[in-house]
Amino acid sequence: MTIAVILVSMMIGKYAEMIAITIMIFYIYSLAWSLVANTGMISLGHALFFALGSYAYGIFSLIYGINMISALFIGPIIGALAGLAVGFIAGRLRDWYIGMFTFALTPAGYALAVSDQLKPWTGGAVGFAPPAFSLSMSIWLPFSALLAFATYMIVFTIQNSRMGFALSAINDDEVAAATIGINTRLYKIIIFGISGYLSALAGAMFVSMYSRYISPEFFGYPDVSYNLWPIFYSIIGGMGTPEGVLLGTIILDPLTELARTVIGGPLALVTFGVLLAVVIIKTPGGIYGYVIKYFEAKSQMR
Amino acid sequence: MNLLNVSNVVKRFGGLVALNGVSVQVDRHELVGIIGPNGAGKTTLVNVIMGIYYPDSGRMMFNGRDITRMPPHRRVKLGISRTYQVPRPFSNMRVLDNVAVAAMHGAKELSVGEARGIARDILERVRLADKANLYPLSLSVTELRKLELARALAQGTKLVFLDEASAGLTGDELREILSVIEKIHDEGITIVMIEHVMKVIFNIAEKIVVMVNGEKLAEGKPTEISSDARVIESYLGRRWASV
Amino acid sequence: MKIMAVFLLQHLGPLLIWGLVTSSVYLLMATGLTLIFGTLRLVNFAHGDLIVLSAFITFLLTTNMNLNPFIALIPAMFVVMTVGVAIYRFGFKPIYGISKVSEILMTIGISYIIENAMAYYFLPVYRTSVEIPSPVGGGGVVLPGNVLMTYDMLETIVVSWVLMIILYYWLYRTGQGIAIRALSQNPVGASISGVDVGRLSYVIFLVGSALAAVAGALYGILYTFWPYNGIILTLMAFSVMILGGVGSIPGTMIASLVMGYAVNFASYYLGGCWGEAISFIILALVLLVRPSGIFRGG
Repeated sequence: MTIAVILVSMMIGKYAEMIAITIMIFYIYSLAWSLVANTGMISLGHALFFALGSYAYGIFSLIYGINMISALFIGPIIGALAGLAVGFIAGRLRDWYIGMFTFALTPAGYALAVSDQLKPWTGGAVGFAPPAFSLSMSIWLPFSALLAFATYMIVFTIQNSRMGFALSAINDDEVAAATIGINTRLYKIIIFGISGYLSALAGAMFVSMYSRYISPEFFGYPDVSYNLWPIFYSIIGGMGTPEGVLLGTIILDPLTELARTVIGGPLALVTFGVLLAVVIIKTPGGIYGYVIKYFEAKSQMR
Repeated sequence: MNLLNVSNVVKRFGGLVALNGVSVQVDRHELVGIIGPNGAGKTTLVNVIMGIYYPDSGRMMFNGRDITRMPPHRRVKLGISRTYQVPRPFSNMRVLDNVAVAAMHGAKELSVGEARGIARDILERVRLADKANLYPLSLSVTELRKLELARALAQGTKLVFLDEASAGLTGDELREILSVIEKIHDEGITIVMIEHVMKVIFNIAEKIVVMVNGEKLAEGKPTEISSDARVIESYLGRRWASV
Repeated sequence: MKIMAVFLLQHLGPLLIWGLVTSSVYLLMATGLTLIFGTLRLVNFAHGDLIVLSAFITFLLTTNMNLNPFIALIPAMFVVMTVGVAIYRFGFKPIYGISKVSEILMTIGISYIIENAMAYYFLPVYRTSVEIPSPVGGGGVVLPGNVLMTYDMLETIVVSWVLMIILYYWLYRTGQGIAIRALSQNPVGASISGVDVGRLSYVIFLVGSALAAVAGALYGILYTFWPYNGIILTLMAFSVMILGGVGSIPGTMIASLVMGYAVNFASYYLGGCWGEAISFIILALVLLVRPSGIFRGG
């Protein structure tokens, strides 16, 4: 598989390679969001973890001089801790309240990042550039692909473990889950912690291998985009399944890049909002659900 | 020693007193029936014993341990479980996994493989093995009730509350469920049945508790209850009159 | 003693007045949200965007056509109410009651659409933030203690609290209002007893959007704004709504006063960015301690 990735990266151009890297990064981010969503909690503030990961990576490597590869994996621990704290509160709340609470996290994180008190570390509203990533550029794509695959394996392992069964039960019926002996609150906190780590990892990767600059807009505020990409990719792709999320990321991420760089302007972003609304109303299973249905219908006709 | 000892439990919702100082004892291997009209507080009692709500006052002991303010999942580990009047299966899981997930998180912590093995045995015991790979959506009411029972059993439970397990069933379905219940009871599990149809319970229960308006009205052997003047007047009488 | 008195006059006086002004704006912003959530169990995340939309339309009509902001508010209100009803009809109604997850995702999608549509339409023209000119041409009165109260601040306080009195009268004294309160307490019971829930839902979204429109114009007169202001306004409204207890008008009144003063004092003594931070801290604390709200009567 690694060989195939290297071959592909040699054949396609630099620009395509960069897009392929963002696909890997946002696949990790979207999978992380889906982990929480599939436990029945719709988080509207995952950009907090994404941004914390990128800031932690930058601060650890620039100010504390930690080896960059280590910083890439140690930094997201901050995201995990934030995830545990958010899960501690969100685990007690129901549907809408989780949405409102998590939505409030992103401006709060932004306010902290630009505050005078933290400016020496965060660079305030301007942000800062961490040192160039120490890994050779030619292996960024295989490296990020490896991390994406590792994340997929983590999600797969969770889904097929005792914990995965518990999470699935909580998603279906939380009260019934508690009455068969599942510590619902604890599992919700843990899954938020894991999701926080993976989102933060995506944030750190985004800085080290794509943007090479850290800015407070990563908190998804005032423009909510960083907050919403994982939601768009997961929901439009097909929530619940890692395959659907992959499909959504592969199809939509290049379009996002196009919207951001080529077309430019917010009008392109409006179409993402409309697409999300249409998918929610028409095909709640997303693109992947549609594909599955299509093949099932086809096999039945035979 | 009693297996379960509920003493003077009070539960209020706003101004409404749902349980007004209820005391109930259940012995090991007993089959107890709790009866009463709708709104008598039977289901609230089960919810309080399971830990869905904490009581405002009163105490609950299970197997010698105080469970009054213990979270629900820890009570399950001690060996208390329940079924729901309206079955609450996990609709996105196959029948087998519905039972397996209960086994995993019951009295013993089991791995997925072990839990599935136990789940297969239990589905066999409640005569639901042929439906193991279906989703709960395609089960009949009787089968869903059996699934609820199977989940409770999978937890390695000592005491199980059956909330209206016979409601809405007639003839063969009713006999099927009752035979499964009696079979479980014979295997050594203590059972508390909550019913408002009394014919069922008078035949199989060893002890009957009558609840009216959040209070315990009477308690005793089925024969004593059916001849108790207060019960006849306030519950049987009214019920009979309304039929 | 004398130092204390000087301090009170120079700092506390303006803070007290600004606290009241801010509270009045929060009150208008949160009432529309709490009315919708309290009855239909929907949180309109685009509520803040509707407020900004109203401010922008009022601003455009005022600057381009020389209308008085209060006159310009009328067409702005009409547009915002239309958008509000469209959100309900085309966004929520097709999925209402099917799954909470879909509703939550839908509301964030709608907010994203409106926000970026505004950014597309308004940003190329007004790249920086803008402010609506005063409807009475500025000026104000100096209150005892040398505290300046501009007419714009005064009209904000008056408009907001008068609207609350009207709203209170509507909810507690008219048949329609009583039907809405019945709906908020028991949706099933209300529909059984002959309340036309479908029609009432439109009324609720109309009134909620109208309140957002008024809040938008007043906000635009007092503060500067730009297309991405919606999030912060929505969140302020959340904080007030949660603190006051969902669906409770008296609770919302008390909560908006608490929040208005908390924000002003925090930003004065701790620094600008703490003003908003304090409202999120309050939101998180309330959700942690008592998710049903602090001032909810019961």
